[in-house]
Amino acid sequence: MFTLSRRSLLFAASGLAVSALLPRSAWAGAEAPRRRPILCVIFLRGGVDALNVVVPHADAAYRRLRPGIGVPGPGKADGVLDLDGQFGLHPRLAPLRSLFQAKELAVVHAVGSPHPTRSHFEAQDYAETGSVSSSTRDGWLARALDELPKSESLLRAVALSSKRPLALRGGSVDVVSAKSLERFRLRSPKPLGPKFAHAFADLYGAGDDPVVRAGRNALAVERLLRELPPTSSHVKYPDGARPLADIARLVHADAGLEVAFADVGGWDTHQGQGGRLPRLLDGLGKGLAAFRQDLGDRFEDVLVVVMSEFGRTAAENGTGGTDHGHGGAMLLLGGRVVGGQVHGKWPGLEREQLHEGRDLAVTTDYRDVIAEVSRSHLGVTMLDRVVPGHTVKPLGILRAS
Amino acid sequence: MRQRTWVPLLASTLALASCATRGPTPPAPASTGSAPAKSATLSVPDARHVLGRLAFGPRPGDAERLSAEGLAPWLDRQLGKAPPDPELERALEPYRPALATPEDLAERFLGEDWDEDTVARGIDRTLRQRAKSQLAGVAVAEITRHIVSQRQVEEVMVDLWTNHFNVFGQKGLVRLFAGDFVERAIRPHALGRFEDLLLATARHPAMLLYLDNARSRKESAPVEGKKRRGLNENYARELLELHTLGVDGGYEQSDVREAARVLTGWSVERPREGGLGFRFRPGAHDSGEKHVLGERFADDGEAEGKKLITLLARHPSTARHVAKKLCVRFVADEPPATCIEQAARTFRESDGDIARVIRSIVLGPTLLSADVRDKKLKSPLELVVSSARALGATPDGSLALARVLGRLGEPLLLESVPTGYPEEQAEWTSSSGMLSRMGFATELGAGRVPGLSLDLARALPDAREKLVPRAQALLLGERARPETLEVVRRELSRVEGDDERRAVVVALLVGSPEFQRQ
Repeated sequence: MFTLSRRSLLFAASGLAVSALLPRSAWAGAEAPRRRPILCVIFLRGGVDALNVVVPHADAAYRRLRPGIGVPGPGKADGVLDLDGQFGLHPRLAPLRSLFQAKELAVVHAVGSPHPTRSHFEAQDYAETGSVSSSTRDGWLARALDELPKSESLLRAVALSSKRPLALRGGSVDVVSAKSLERFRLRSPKPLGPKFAHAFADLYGAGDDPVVRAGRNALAVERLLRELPPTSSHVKYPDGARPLADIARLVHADAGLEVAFADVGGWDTHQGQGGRLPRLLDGLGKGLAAFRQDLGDRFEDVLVVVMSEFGRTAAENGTGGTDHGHGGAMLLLGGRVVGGQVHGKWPGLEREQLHEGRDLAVTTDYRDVIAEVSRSHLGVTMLDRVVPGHTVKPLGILRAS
Repeated sequence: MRQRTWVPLLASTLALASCATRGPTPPAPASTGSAPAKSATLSVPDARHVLGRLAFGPRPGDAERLSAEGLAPWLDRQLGKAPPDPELERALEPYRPALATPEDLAERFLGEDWDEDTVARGIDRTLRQRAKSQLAGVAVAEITRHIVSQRQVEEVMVDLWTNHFNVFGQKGLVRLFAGDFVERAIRPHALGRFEDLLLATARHPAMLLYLDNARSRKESAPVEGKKRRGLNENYARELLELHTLGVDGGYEQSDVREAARVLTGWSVERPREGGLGFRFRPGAHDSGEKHVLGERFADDGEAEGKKLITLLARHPSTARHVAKKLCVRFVADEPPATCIEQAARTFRESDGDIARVIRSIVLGPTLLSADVRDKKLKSPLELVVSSARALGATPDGSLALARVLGRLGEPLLLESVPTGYPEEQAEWTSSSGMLSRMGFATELGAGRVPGLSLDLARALPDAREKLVPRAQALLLGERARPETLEVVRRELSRVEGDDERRAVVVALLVGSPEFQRQ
């Protein structure tokens, strides 16, 4: 069976002598180590049109601002799926409504950064550094991980992204980043034989030099992922939700995962968003619902945070889309979420209520959300490390652990 | 990636043999502050070490030649006047279109009648798509220069300054300017005076747009319903923190703000104003009195910015900050204090003469000391370039090599944060980083690195007895560990054909821990 060898490998910090591993292999029996909470951040790149995701259908200004692209009211054909009489989900997010009703899903609306930038990369950098100062050079997830108790897992942090995201840069915990788990492979192209890649294990087999250790670590991770048990669930994920399926596999494998990060692109809907946005939301909704189902009773350990760099203009533009805006929405899905609620103070969509007369205003600083997530879910106590220089305001979106 | 506009380059024109016999050594200019005894006794291992730090690694025979020539004369040649380099010119030919001026690029991307609107929109889909290939072209042009150029110290410095003065090639119109920035702002000053380099970057549209100075203007009362425009401190902050004084350089937030006020009006031309160059906008300039680092700035329009650049370039904190950067690059991630002190003193005494600062580090006591040997890790760029140099590989005329750097985690000109790519080892040794290095080595051995033209039969003609010694001499020299050679021999015993044998040796040596060192 896989279990024993996998676990010994999982926790084999590669520099340890074999003897040091023996007691740990014994964990694999009845007394598994205390499961750590797992945080998954899904970053929707491009600036999501939050007003068409969680629709403020009771705000009279909504339909006036969006005569063409506005989502029809509750009860109408292809209309909003009402949540609480005030807000409703886009009809393509139907799978999320049942999660909301089961109080497993919470929404934070009118959330964002106090920084007014409408530049994608700048706003993403702020969202990932957990700061409003460009002098913060490392990521909030990396800093949060550094605040957590040590672990010998090789898979504490996994980024399903082509490049290590800024959110996970600058910390001391290794980040496994690859577009998918499948891609984290050492291949042997012709004319090298199929087994050739194994030779590297011997090149990096012994020695305490940091580069040798890092190489050994990489090869151990590669082997671990190669041998990761295939998913046993029959849950079907939609296209584009592969990262969620990968994360679920890691959760089920008890791989020692603590932070997962996934990028989903394509949200920069300047034109004709009536076609593209529903398609993207369909994938997101089905993907999250599949993930929830797939996790089964492991759901209680997991928190998913869905975020984007900013929202979009309150009014539709001349090309059936929306432009870069300010306030947006975050979704939180997990076992300890104070779900079934749309959190945050609604600032309204009347002209004088809008940020600079055009965008949804920000009434909840996203740093308060990530601070609460870090404290209540991950157990970080030194919040100033996660959101430096920010005075944290409790929001009550998570139950304390 | 699209190949249409890129004339495939015949790799055979860049014969490996020609690298082995470089032109005659021009008379060396008098060196300042050199240590003759040292240059007379530079061993081949010393030379290899020097070429790992001051060059992108040795080409075949380079270490032996440097050892024979001596360090000081070699350095004089590297820092002196550039000799013609026809091999480089040939290699660059397919990538010349990518290095065109922003005006020419605008015309190519947006049509001859490009105007205010097409350029201002900038994020139009056509421009985005075309600029993507164009940026990849710039990246491969730079890689080509790093591989082929004889001016290796200059190439290393261009890479260093490109990260020191990082711009993000995918931010709006920066797309049009990033190549021009490296070629025409950084390159001409890479070995010159720091102040000239700083000024060239400060006035370049790529920097003005990337860090938003182009749209920074004097503060005014907000007008309701209008997008508020005012002071933008982005550039001023990075100018002080990253480009000059350093984070502990002794400035305060008020200095950042005041510096931003000084620089208001430094902006970019609009097409109807005649081009796409630097433009000072008096209307945006804050003419009030400011104080930066205790220095008073009275109303003097555009000249205030120049005065600020001079003030910063000559500040002792800048000398120290830049000195440290160079010591980190050449000597160690945590360089000895003596290196920094001496380099900073030279910087101050020479008014920021970069060549002289390099000279003081190279000819000083720390570069060759035993405790800095084999301690630095190659960046992904250095890994790719040094392996190509050792094996006589060159870009094949396509753009694919840009993506290879991307997979290794260092896509050129695409780092969004102003710090640029890091130099320190810890930033490059994640499991993904290490695995991608081994993957690159395996592809290289198999002759399948996209965008790289490599003839291993030429680099390693004998695939039998002399294969391992020759490959070791090209790639590792005396750095090779016995256990590495043992694994190589074991794997060789499992394969038959010459191509397989070469592939095994190259994959393992390039993927070895030793080759990650410089």
